Amino acid sequence: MSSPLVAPPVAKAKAMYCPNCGGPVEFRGFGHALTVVCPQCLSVLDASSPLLKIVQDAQDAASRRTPQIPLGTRGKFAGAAWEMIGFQTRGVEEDGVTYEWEEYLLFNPYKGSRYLTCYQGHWNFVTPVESLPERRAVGGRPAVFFEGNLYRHFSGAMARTVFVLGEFPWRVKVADEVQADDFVHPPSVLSSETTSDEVTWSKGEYTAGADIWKAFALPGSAPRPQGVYLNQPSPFAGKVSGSWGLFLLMEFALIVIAIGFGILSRNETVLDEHYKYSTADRGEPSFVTKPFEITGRTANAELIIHTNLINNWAYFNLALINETTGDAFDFGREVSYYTGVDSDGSWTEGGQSSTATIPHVAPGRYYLRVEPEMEGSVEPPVTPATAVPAGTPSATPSAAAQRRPPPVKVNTVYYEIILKHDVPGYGWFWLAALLLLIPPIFSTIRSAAFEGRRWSTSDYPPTRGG
Amino acid sequence: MRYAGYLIYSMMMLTTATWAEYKGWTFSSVNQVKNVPKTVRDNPGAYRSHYAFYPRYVGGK
Repeated sequence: MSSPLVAPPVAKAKAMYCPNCGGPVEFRGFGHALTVVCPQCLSVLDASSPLLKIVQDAQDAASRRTPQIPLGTRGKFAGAAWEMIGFQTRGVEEDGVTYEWEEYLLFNPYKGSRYLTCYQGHWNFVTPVESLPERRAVGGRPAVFFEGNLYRHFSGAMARTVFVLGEFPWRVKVADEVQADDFVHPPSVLSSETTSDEVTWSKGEYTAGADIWKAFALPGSAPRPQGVYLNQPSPFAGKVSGSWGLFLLMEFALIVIAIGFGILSRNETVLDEHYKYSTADRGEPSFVTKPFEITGRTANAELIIHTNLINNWAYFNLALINETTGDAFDFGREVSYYTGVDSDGSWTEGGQSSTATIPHVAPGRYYLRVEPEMEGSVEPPVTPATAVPAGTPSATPSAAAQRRPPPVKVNTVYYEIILKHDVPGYGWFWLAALLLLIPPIFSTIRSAAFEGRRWSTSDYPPTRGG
Repeated sequence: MRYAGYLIYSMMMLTTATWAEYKGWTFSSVNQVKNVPKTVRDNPGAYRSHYAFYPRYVGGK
């Protein structure tokens, strides 16, 4: 025959009666309570006396607050079982506005007391601190050093008790005031409460409301937090430095690849000829160059035009034509260079050279069609140099290059065309380098905005431009 | 992974830039024309550039 099952003993609240209204007053704190509040008339009673002496008359019914965690609710949180035995709301007044928060006293007969605080949906699990934080100053602002971390002063104000309910292991009543200061090191906050007699410290850890709802099996879901709380962990914490680290790594990789391209690109000059064009020349201005061979892989080509233009312009219609396939790259380049002196001093505009990059040029046999244009002049003076037919390579290129420019109205241009194939171009790498900047900059801005919102409610709100 | 998104984005940027450089892509305005007649070689004036009718700058300060 089996022995009868014996249920484990369950701790029950001890009941006494309120001397004001006669209603039952429950005790859950195993005799630790110094203050208890009658749940019916809200009188604050001295629990150290068996007679429950009235410390404070019944609180105004209008001041009654309903705790989100009902008195007597038990739950397992932070590795221990807790029962909610006391509830109070406190507030600070700023500019005529009272900001209230809730404090829930949790009790465990072996662990003692802990607290849950709630402000606009932001919860903290608070533990009394045994050792004294070391006071410091950072940037002229108060701070404390505790357990290897620096906590920066966030705000300080006189906190006033607005409403109390349940029981407390200390003496408490409505309208009690303490100087409360918060020092933050998200997700932790160190709070000091200073009275004329003592300074007490406690440490809070930011806690998700959903975890509390789950731990205490509360109905519904936790209210959504509003705004950014003083020790709310930033969703960008660590991401900013990490993204910048990754950015540097990627930039380094980009530089290595770019250097590799610089080394491996052939940068081969396939055409380098000097020409002359004058509007005085009769006949067709366009001409084709001698054929030249482009070898190697399909790559870009760079066409450079150097001219001797001064205070004039020339336009070059150009076509790089594959002699075999008939495929052509058709493009144009204007070269204009103006210079002078005015009341502001000397000035220049444009340049005597221009460069065009031709994409994706496959190997093959090519020639270049060149059609220069300049503003026509009526009768440009004919010089021995202009007697050379259009498109004829200059017999002495170096001499042509050194020749001084003719007078402005002559409208003759001496120019050199250089065509290079497989030229290292870094434009795409520059673009990639800039695009790589976007995520870390975005992350930095968002992080700064989050911290700005955090500190906007502090005693040290960020100032514009400062 | 914490930076998976940024890592993927970065690798895409690197790959695209490398591929674009390798293939010789440019931002330049260059028209590709097919089947240019071989007679252009002997008669360059017979070919008309796409850019032949663009307005010209004749400026200066």
